[in-house]
Amino acid sequence: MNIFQQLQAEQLQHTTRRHFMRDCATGLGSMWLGIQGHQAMASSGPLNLSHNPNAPLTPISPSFAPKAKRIIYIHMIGAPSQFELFAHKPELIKYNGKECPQEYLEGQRFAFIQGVPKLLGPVYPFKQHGNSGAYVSDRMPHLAKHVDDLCFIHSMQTEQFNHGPAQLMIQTGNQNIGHPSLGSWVSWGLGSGNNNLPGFMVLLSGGRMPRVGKSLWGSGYLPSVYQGVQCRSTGDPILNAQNPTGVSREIRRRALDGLKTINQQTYNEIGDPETLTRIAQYEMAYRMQVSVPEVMDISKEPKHVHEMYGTQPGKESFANNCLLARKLIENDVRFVQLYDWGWDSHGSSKGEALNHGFKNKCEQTDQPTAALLADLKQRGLLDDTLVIWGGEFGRTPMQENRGGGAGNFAGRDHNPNAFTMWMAGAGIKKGTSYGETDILGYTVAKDPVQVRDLHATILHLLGYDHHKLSVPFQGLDQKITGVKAANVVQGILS
Amino acid sequence: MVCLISWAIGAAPDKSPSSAKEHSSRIVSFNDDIRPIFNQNCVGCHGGVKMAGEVSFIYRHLALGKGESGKRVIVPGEPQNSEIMRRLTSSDPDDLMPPPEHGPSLSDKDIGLIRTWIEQGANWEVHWAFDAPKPQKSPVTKLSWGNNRIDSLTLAEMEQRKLTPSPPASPAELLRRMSYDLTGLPPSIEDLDRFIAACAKNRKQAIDHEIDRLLASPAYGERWASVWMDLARYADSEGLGADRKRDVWPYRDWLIRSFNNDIPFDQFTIKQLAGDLLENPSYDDRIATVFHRLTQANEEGGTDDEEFRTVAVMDRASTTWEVWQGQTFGCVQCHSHPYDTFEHKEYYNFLAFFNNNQDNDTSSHYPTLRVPSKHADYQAANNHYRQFKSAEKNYHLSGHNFVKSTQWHNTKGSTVKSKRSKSKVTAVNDIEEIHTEGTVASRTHFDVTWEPETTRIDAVRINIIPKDIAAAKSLPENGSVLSYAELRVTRADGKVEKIPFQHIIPDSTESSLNPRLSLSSKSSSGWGPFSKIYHPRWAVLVPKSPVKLSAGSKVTLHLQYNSFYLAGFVMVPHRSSISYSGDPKWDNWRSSATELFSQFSATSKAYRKTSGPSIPVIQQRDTTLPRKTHVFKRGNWLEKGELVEQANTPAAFPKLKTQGKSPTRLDMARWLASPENPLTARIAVNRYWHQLFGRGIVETLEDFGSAGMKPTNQALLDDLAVRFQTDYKWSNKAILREIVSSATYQQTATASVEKRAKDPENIWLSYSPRRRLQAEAVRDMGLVVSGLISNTLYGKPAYPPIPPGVWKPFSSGDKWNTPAIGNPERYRRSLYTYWKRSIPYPALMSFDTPTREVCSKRRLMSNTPVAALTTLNDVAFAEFAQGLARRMKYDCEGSLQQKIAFGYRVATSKNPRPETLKELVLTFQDIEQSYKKNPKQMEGMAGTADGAAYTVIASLILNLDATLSK
Repeated sequence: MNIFQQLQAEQLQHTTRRHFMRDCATGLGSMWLGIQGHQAMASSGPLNLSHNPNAPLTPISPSFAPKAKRIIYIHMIGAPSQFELFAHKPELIKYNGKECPQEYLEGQRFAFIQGVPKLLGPVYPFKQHGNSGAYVSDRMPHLAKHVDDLCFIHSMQTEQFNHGPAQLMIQTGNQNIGHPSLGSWVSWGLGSGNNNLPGFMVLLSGGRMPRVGKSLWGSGYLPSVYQGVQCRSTGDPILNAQNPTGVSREIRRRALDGLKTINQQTYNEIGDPETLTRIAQYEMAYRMQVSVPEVMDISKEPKHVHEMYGTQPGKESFANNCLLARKLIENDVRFVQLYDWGWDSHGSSKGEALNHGFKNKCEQTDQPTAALLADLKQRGLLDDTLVIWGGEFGRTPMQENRGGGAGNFAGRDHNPNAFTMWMAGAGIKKGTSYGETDILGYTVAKDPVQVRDLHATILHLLGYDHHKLSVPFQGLDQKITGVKAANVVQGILS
Repeated sequence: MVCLISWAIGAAPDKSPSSAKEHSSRIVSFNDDIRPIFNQNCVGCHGGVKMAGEVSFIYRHLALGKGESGKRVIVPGEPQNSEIMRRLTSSDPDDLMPPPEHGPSLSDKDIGLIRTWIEQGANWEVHWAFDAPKPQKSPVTKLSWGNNRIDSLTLAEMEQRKLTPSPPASPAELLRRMSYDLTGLPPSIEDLDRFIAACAKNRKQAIDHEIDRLLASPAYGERWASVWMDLARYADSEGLGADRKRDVWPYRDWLIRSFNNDIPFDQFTIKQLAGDLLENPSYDDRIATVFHRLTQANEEGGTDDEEFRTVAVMDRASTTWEVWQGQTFGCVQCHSHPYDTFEHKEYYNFLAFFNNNQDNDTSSHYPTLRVPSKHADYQAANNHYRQFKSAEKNYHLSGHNFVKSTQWHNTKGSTVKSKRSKSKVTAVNDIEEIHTEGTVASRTHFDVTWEPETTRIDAVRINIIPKDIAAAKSLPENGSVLSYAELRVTRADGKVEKIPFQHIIPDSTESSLNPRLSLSSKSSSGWGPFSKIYHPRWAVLVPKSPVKLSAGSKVTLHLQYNSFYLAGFVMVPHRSSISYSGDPKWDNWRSSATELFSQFSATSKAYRKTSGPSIPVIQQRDTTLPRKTHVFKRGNWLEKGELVEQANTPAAFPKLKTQGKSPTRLDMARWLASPENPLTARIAVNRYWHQLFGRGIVETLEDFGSAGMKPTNQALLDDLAVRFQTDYKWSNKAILREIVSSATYQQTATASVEKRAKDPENIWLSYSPRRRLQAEAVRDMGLVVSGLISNTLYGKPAYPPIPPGVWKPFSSGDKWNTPAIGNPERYRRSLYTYWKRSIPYPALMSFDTPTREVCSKRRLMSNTPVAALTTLNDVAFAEFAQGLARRMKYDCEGSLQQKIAFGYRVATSKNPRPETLKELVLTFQDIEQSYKKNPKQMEGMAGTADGAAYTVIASLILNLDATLSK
């Protein structure tokens, strides 16, 4: 009997609801072992939510046939202005510089706007593109070529209007810290398709961490195995992947052989199954030291790929992360989360101005985003990969007047009442726009989509009923859509 | 339509031991048999959250009532007339419960249980944990085994399951376990040798002696402080938006001292929840209240202080319940408890204990206390603090009383000119008020001009009024800050005289800003309702001498509001009014105030000289400025529901005893620590049990409610809980000594495959659990084994080596400066590591520390490749390997075998078995050979091949399962 068979033989005998939480954490040992040969199959009736504790990354059979097998979620940290990208509001041009009608201000809470602000017309011109005739501003010329693959949701709404809580809301379904992120839920449901890589990986660009940090990709009350693994495009791709100075891979191998032998002796003496798990984890660590840097190395990509994405190996950039996202998806990572910092265009400084910093952000992201879509398409991956783009809330049609004075730069305040997101790929109706806002784009006029509806829709595309993908915690069946009613947005599905 | 639902769809079937028993002939137990069926299948729709068809199974009177259908749900003694029986067994899918779309029908066995239970009278029982624990008799056991009462109680459970205890652990195994459990550190070779020798003479005496030594070690306090720090959500940063650094470490030091001095757990509880309300609180008492200032704060631009103050207050209510009562109280924020007998409103009754604290999420962390760096200086600092507070009160009261006794005139015919914003004078109830118009810009100045009816002006009073006085009491408006005020007198000849003010008498001394700054034009800070206004507020400004007015003089009050808060809030009053006083009696006040002011000023200076950090503490709000507590509809703080008249504890628990007129936080703290409270002692001993055995007697430390797991040995739990309060007078050291002294604890962890198969989770404790070290202990082990550890206690947070690229704080001022190699500050124990919530220290995180944004009751232990990479490759662990290599090579004389055996023993507390030593030596030789063949590869690591090989072997030893487990 080899140690892996023995490990299986030693696995815990029963799982109650409560044990599930703990066993997944302690039994992680073979998380990397038990996942092969398991195919997520559609099954009717209630979901069987208890994972084999020794193989927590085994998929939970979905409720119905999934359209999407993988997700790339691009979150623009700071909330990009829809009025300068995808929300074409010709009336706003007319109102530029006029005082905002009182009806838009009654009963509203703003982060920074004081009193009666003035309206701000779109800073950039719009044109229609593709067969679908979708409006895109001149800031996104590359992406504009792909509008016939996209579905814009112009009627997104959230309940939070400060960055930290709103980012948590859209990433975890709750404004407070401590809830599992969308990626964790997906990783909990779909597991990992690659036994050398985690199921949920996170890539950052823009030079700063999102303000609530790791909580955005945390596993909350799900076991820690489901949290996102942050990879870096500069330095070590994951922490401690490199051996200490002076320890070659051969020497490490020899030392690990010794370690394995002695741990096996310890097991023989004491009989603690955790010892076997530890042996397996050290072997996995050894493999990850090669597999993760390998998949994260973009230097070997051909020249035309670099030109297509605008990538420069060794730099931290959004472009590099787009290319990495494609590589990770190709290697069967289930959920790749991209964060790009720097979209908070208040107009309070040059970097935060729609007419300055925002322009740079568009230049940094337009080409790589378009390249990612094109690349996924040509590799046949777009059919079962869902790509999501958006921020944590929208921006106001009003010019921000922080401190009550007129800003020197063009800027807009936070607006939870309306924002635009787009989705592409698996199961998404191509070349469409969903939902409408009022003539000024301040709030939703038709077909509102709440954050929880978005989450329900994403889970639906993965084959899960959002009501059923839940975990008991603190006396409640916790789910990402929370306690309020959430609906799958049928209008965006193909 | 009545509707039952399977609440946990797809959850594994209930495996409670009783469901397997025969039920026809015995009395069916509500708690053991019936409540679990209700909880799993019914209360999702018929419980505290939803009461579909007006049916609930939480309270007996509701379950016995009539539903919407008018039929009695349960008729005691008459299952045939109970609607529930008809619905559970109906063949009509429209009638059947649970409805087929919600889940499978109940099993015949469960239906039978319910029928029998109804036949027997449908008796309800209080949830086990809500009944106070009672002393237990020692059970009769077949075997005579054990050292104390614990052992007969565990043995009885073992015998029921045909298990027998394991032999005692070897002295080395036992000392390693006790040492890690009590101090978080491994034993030294000297400790081991001494203990082994002593055991050979008299094992019991040797163990007793060793327990005493460990409990007396300062490391004991460090170890148990770090357990409490998870509960207290201790962090050195404030969390949320900006996650700035926040000085709170004197509280961590207070914890260490409290554990080392063995402060009884009841006192420990009271001090943390209400130390500020004790009579003559000491500095230590005040520092203890930091416990509830460890809630997160949000300093992100544009965030509403009232929103995040409310979040913090709700956290305090929930955390108190989680830490001391093991109840999931957070859910009651939005609705009544889904399973347990807590009503929605009771959450807000409890929240009211915390709603009138002074703190309000302002960026200064107000209120704060200056704490001397050395504990020895606390007493002196407390004296300074008290003198300052008393002088402040005297000065303020004298002004306050005088203000009340003198006559005030309202302005008449006043006009206002404002700069940067528009404003106008409007009469409201015959009082001229200054109202802003349109957009109010920051740095707005007002010039209010009037012709006084008096011939002199001694004082001017500014009233700042919420726009909606009634509504603001429950939902405050944005506040204001008076940056500067001066009086300008325009004489008949047109000459203007500018007169500054000398005194300011605020309505309350409670302020996070210094009111006297309003007297100077240099600062934008000063007096005002900051950052929120709940009530009309006032302040009186007094010039140095009376301003004498001749006929035709006009007076202008020049007011500047220059504060712009959190990059979003303009601190300008939208509504204010002015009155004035001209009364010769002010001359007397001015002369007496000079003396009072100089005392105030001198004591304030003396207090401010206290050198050390200013830490956030809990202080009760001024009773003249009360905040109202409301029920929040569906938990939303913006939707205020019913008013909460006074603070209270839930009705399902023993009644609160109130010492004064109305219940206070101190009453609540004493209630928690009272002998009547059914949970406090149980929760505490269960936590100790969990720490020592890796699994609580109630496994769900976080949930002692009816949705949590039941105790595996309630007699043991209750016996310990009772004795903790009575025999041991809440002494932590005494209860820990009792547990560690038990034969149950002292068994060996070695167990046969057959024994493990009978009880794989080791619930019945017939062998000792063997667990991986906790995160802090993993790193501290490295520090000890490498010989690098610094034994310094207390002080500022430490910054040990951190992997490159990790430290990218949102606020750039927060620096991570690691002391150089060799500097002892680099090698402090893990609990001192700077704890930033958004960037937790990676080496601790990979071993399952929580991020501590909120109270964390239990760490889930993982075993991951990420952890393996940490101990293999992390910079700090590479340094530990070098340290251990040095110790093997230089500190131990003898052969290679002896040196390696020494290293193994230092790390694992035992001598290697021959085959283990053989493998280690073989590995060493292979590696040394490799370095000899290719010396280039050891560059930057070691100078000689054997040095390099020792380093690799040391790293191997540090990564052994035997090293990482206890």
